[in-house]
Formats: sequence, C-alpha cells, structure tokens
Amino acid sequence: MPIAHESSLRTAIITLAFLLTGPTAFAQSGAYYEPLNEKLPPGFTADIMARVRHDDMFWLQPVRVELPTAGTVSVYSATPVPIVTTSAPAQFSASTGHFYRLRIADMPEFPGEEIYPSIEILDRLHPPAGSAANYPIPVVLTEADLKEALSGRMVTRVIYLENPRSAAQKDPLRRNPRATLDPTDNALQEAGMYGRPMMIVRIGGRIPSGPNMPLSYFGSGGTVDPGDSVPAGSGVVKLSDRKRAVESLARGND
Amino acid sequence: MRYYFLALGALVVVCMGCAGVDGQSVLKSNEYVAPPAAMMQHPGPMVDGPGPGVMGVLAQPGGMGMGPGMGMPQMSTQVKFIGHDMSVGWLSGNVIARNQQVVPGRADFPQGAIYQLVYSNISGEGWAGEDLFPTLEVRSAHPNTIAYLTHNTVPVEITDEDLEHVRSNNMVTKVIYLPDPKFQARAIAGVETLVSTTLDPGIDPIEQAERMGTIMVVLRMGNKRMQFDEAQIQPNGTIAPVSFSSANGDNGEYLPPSPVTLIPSDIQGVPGAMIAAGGGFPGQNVPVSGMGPTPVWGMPMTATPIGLPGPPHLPLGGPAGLKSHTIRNLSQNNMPEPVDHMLIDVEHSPGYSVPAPVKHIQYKETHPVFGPGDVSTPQGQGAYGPPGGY
Repeated sequence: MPIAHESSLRTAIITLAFLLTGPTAFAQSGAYYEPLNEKLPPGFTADIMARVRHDDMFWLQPVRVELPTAGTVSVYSATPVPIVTTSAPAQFSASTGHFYRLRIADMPEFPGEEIYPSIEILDRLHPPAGSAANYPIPVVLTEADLKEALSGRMVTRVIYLENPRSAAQKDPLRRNPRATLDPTDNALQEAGMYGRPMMIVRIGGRIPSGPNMPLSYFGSGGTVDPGDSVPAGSGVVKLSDRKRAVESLARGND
Repeated sequence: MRYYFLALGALVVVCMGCAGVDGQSVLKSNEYVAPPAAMMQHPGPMVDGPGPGVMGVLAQPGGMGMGPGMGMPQMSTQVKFIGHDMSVGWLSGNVIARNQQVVPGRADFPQGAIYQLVYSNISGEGWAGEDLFPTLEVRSAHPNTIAYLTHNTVPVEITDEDLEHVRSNNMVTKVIYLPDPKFQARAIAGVETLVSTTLDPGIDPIEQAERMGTIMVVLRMGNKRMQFDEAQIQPNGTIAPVSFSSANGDNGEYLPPSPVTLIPSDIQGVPGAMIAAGGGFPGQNVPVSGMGPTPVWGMPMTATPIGLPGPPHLPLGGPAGLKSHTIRNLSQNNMPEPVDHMLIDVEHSPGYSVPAPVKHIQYKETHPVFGPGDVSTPQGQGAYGPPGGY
C-alpha cells in the first residue's frame, strides 16, 4: 500500500511538472531564438556574424543600389570622402561583416535633398565562379522609404535570400511573406524564417556636418571595390558630385 | 583504528623528514626567499595599480589635463530646429554666437553635455527685440538609440503655445525620446516629445519619458534673461570678470556650440575623483610614477613642518638626522566605519528568459528531385538563374 501511494504521488508530480513546463516548451517549438536583431547599433550584428561564420575575409560581395528613377550614389567606408560616386543604379563590391554609409543625391523626386542611409552586410552569396558581378545583393530604395526618412522617421529593412527549397516548391504568386512587421518583432528572426538574412538597410534623414564627424559614422572600415564589379554603362563617376559631397561636409550644415 | 592511522602518519613523517611533498625541502626557520622582483617593486595589495599614467587614459573627459574637445571626435546628435520662425544661436566658449541657424535648421551637438541656446529674431507680436535663453541637454547615445541617432535628426520644435507659456512666466520642458518598441505604433521608428505643459500637475516629463523609452534631448525654456557680463569664481578662489564677445551668423561668423556643463551620469570612464593624476591620453605629458618629478608609485608622502609634503628627513642639504616626526590629530571626529559587506537586492521583473543554449545539432541534408513540371519557377536566364540557363 505505501508503494502504491508513492507511485501515485510521483505520477502527480510528473503531471504537474508537465503542466507547468508544457506551454513554455510549446512556445519555443514554433520559432527559433535569434539573439541578434536589427535594432542593435549599426555594424554590431555584421561583426558578430562575421566572427561566427569565419567567411573568406577577402571576399567582396557585389551590392547594387537602385533608386526610384535616377540619382547619384556615393559609398563611404570610415572616411569622410566617398570612395566612389556613381549614377544609379550603382554597383560596387564590399567586404562582409561591415557597415557602410551611402549618400543618395540628385534625385528628381527630391530636388536638393540628400540622404545618407547605411547598409550592413551580414552574409555573402555563393555565385558560380567568375560571375559574382551578376549576382549582387539588390538594395532597392523606394520613394516611400525616402519620404519617410525625410520626414524624420527611420526605415529599417532586412534583405534576405529566400530559402531555395521554398522558392522552388511554392508558387511565386502564393508566397506572401510579411512585408512590414510590428515594432516589437525581430526582423532578423522573421527574415531567418524565410531564408538567409543578407543585409540590414537603415534609412534616415540625418546628414553629416562638420569636420569633427566621427569616422565611425561613415562605416566600420570594410573594403570597397568599385572596380570590375561595376557593369559597363551603368555607373559613371562624376567628379563634380564627389567635389560637392566634400563641400557639403566642410560646410558644416545646410 | 583511529590510533592506528595516527601512528602510521607519525611513522611516515619520521621517515620522510621535513621534505616537501613535491620533493623540495621545507624552509628552515632562519631561511627566507624573496618574492619575484615584479612583486617586490609594488607596495602591496589594494594600494597598487597600473599607475597614474595608465589610469589617466581611462579617466573621464573633463578632468585635469583633458578637455572634452581633446582626443577622438565625440559622437554628436544632430538637432533639427523647427516650429516658430526665429533664429537659433548658442554659447561657444566665451562667445555668444547668435543667428547660427534659422528655423528650420539643423546643427550637431556633441553628446553628454548641456548647451546654452539663444533664440532671437522671434516672429510674432510682442517678441520684437526679445531673446530667449533655453538650455539643451543632449544625452549620450544608448544602445537603443545609436542606430536612430546615426541616421536621423532629433526634432526640437517651438510652438506658439510654448511661447505663450514662456510669456506667462511658465517653464517649458520638452523631452524628446525614442519610444521602446512596445510603445511604438509603427515599425518605422520615430521620436516622441513630452511637453511639461501638457502633462498633469506633478508628472515629471523626464521620468515619464524614461519609463516609455530612451531620452535623447531635453529642452528647458523659461523667460529668464541671461546676463553674460558676470564674474566667475576661479579655481584658486579669486573672482574674475568674464568677458563675453559676440558673433553673428548673419555676418558669416559661425562657431560650433560648446557645452556649458557635462552631464555627470553620461561621462564614461573611471570617475576622475578616483584618479590622482587626472586624465590623459597616450603621448600626453601626464605624470607617470617614477618619471621626472613624479615620485615613485607607492612612495610615502608625509606632511612636514614647513607645510609641504615630502620625505621625513627634511630639511634637505644635510645628512638625514630626523628620526621621528609625529603629527597628532586631536579632532573629535565622528566618522562611521567603512562598509565592509554591501548587500544590494535588485529584481528585474519580468526577469530575462532565454532558451537554453543548443547542445545537440542533427544535420540532415536531403536533395530534392524534381521532374518536368514540378518546378513552378521558370528555368531561364532569370536575374538569379545561372548564366545560359540550365
């Protein structure tokens, strides 16, 4: 009789423990836990992911920046002078694990305005050998995003490479990932559920001013190569724009 | 049995003598071994450290020998002045820089400091020739706000209602903060402004803003007119008049804003009061123990009859003869004993709860095989298809 009593008590304890831990276990089984998120300081997530992945540090990932219609794109990397200034759509290559500052100007939709978004390259693509320039990470800056930035808000976008299995099996017209998240959602985790996060794009309305601007504002110092990755005829370096960018920095404010 | 082991232990000791367990002999009572030289040159635990020259690098800015403008450029917050038509100026050192910006305009302010602004040329009835002198408190970037501050401006708006409050002898405090995600309506981050005049009496806008997000800028505005021709108490106790000059942006005279005071809680590094040598940076001529006139780190410094610190065998120039030097402090002080055990109970509710770290990974790779018509995407030369197609 005492043995039966002990057995029933043990069963009750196990059942109670299951009831207490069950909901937590079910809650974690639906999604994985992503400690990083897009709200961290620029460059932090890319740096952590670069340390974890140990990718080829000499790999330069092609990036293609597209504007609503036209304009110029300048690329900074921890220097107040742009490394390259090209016409949109602009293509360049940059090392992963870093963040870079861009300057968008000469847009017919926003005359006289210049915007300094940043891109944080989290991961790289693995294109066929010799054709890396044909597979850039597309950074599409829409007119709506630029309007939000100019109105004083900050737009954060996470670009991900879709899971090839879901991309191949599901109907493109029926794939409907969430385009806009709630403020409390983790965009990196959401992107990770659909594929592989490649880049974080942050768009705001601040412009650099003054010679005492910290170099960290212009990026974390990754390598930028504007050379062979720029398709012929798609980017034209305009020295006048580069000069104007330097002048706007020296002017201090507008 | 107990006596058996005791006897066995005594036998082992007798047989092995005083040899150590590791084979080295145990020191005799009159033998001494000095510790390593690196340990000997330091006075002892709790009074040593890397030395003033090293600690100075970690010191807070603004301490002795290190001003806020020295070293690497400080991160700044770009403030956008909007609202009522007026011009904005600020105090730049001893220069009153007026008309530096015209609303709407923007300017950069290094973080962690309070600035004296000068609002002038205020439009509207009754404001002709009147100036306002608000202060602008620019908080240091927090991990929550770094991304926003490096991409966006912080709007500081002066409305007609604010001016009416100031005219009515009310103080207006504006707290601009970045709301926490749970207090944001949209994923597109934007700032919120709490105004003291719109809150219920007794509610502190700063406390309220800190509860809902991270404060970036605080503007305090009243109708006090600043008197710039004033005297200041110098560090040596004397009073010296401070002469302010003026600059006018309308004449092309632009000066950067300089802080009137630093925000103590935003100053990073080791508190200056803990570093005897003050601040410094590599390459700067800061006191280093044992170098030049700076005494060796740990050397005792005692008071002397002539009122200066020095070794106890003063006066110099003769053989050391002083054998004893005693100073008795007969003050009746009541100083409590220092706390030796501090207990601080903190509770974070709800506490952090993260999943247990991964300890088992199973990796299984399955290669799908598709037949004709199974794949819905076109097999052509798409933007991400291989060149030349499959």
